[in-house]
Amino acid sequence: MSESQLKLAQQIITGLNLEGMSPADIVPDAPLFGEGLGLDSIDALELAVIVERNYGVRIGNMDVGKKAFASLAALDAFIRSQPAKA
Amino acid sequence: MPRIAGTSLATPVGDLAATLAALDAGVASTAPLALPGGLVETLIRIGNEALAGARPDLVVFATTKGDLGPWCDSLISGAGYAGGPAQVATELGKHFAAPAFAVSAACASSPIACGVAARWLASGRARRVLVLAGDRIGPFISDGFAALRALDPTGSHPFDAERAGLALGEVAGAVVLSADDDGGSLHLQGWGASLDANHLTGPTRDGSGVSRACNAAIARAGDSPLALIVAHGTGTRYNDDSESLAYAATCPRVPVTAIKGLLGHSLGACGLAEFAIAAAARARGATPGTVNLRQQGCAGAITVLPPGVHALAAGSILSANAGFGGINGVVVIGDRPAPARAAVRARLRRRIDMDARGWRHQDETGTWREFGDDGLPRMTALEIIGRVDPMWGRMDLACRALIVLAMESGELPADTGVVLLTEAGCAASDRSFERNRRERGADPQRFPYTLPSAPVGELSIRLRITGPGCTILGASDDQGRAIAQDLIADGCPAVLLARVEADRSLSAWAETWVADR
Repeated sequence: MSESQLKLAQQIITGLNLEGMSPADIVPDAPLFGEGLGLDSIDALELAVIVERNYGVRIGNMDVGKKAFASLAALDAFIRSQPAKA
Repeated sequence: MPRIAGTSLATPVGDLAATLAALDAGVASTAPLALPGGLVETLIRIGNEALAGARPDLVVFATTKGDLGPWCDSLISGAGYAGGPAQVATELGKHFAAPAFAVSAACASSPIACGVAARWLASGRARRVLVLAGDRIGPFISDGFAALRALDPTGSHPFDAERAGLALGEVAGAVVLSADDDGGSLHLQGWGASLDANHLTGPTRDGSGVSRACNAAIARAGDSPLALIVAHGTGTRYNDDSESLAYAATCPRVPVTAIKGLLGHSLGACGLAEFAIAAAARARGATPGTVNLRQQGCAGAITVLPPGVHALAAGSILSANAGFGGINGVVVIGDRPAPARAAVRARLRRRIDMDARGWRHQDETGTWREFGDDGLPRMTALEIIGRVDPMWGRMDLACRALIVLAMESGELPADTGVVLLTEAGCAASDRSFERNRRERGADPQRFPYTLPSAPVGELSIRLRITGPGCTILGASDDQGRAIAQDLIADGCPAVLLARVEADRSLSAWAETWVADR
């Protein structure tokens, strides 16, 4: 797991209140929603808030969110592909 | 029985007659719509109008959150509880000199409160019940729905092809239900409720949750023909699709109307506004169409009435609501009384007592056993609650305690009813949501847990329970038992009745009541 993925994993665990989990429990390429980590659409909205608060990246609609939230690795890549905001 | 002895309504448009006229005219609204004056004062005024001088034996207050402004302020300042559903119900009870409690089942609070009242009358506990409904919107609610991306700033467009979300509004409603022949030719003819066991904020995609509640209410009403459906119709993509599939399956070819294009969504109170409009429509033989409908476009093959006034065929009117937690409630209003049912006696099967230190249970022989006596590792309730599942992290203690109590209550049939008693409700989630909201913005993950019925919804989802469910605030243990026993008398095979107080410390119990056949 890369350093940016590790940091993001910790933010997800804290932000989504995933009790008793550590970043190592999140497999970078495993789905975050449904079968993988088991998150649902309420978590998805919270995840959008976490990404916006921590990285200044706004996910305006959930069709974009669906692709960005495919996995930890996908979300990390998505955030780093966005122009940094002040 | 029961007879609809009076109705009254307060909306930003005006009283019932003014609101009906605006619906007839098809005037669209822009959100948000606030009700002038204090909530309690408004409820007392319309309660008196509906009672027309009669005295109630019971007051049932249908609400999602009660008087939200004072509630949030008292939670944040640590001054105790004020303005919550239990506190407002107590004030109303004092004013009307009758016992009172609140029924909170999110946006289905009103029809579920009507069901509680109807069963209370059927079991002879009262001759006349005043059902009041009201909710405040305020920034707590509007920021919460915005965080869930559920709002359409152009207003609600129920069942429209281009609908894009709901609009919020405030209403207050009153309905008097009577076991006696004291005026009014209409009856609350049927009532039904269900839990989706699906998702905390999303409806079932196939409409099966709303369908179950419709079928229960139609059966309770004696399968009489329907002339109209007054839909929940919020204007969100998922709700209106789900509802349309439910009506296509359960009431094919019955025309559908919705009022939220004019009034917006008034949370737990909306169902009583729809009740009052449905009763007025039945009484005059004509219904308003769907304000804000431009081009119908929803998943189910139904006929949604366009704006305007439409003549009603003979038959009853079904009004349905669906709320967070996957709680659905339906009433049927018509000119025939609900058929009498042979009452079924209820029997206590098990009781569990729980606090932060430990817990114990009592079986049918009356013997108490401490958990741990049976050789299993001895854990406190908090240890068990804490270690069940990392995905429980977003739930507050009240949710977790209720689920653990249910898990330890022995086998529960899928159609078990769930009645949660509480004073504080979800004060812990409210406090953390409101603090965060004021400091950095609304938290979408926390918001659904600020509804007092969230633990009932989570229990339904985790344990696949699909019977009727609600949270009762401000009721005594014995009033709670009466509600549970009435559910069983009305045909529910089992009821999990629990009291959970989990704001600053944990104190909880659960009783499983079953039909004694």
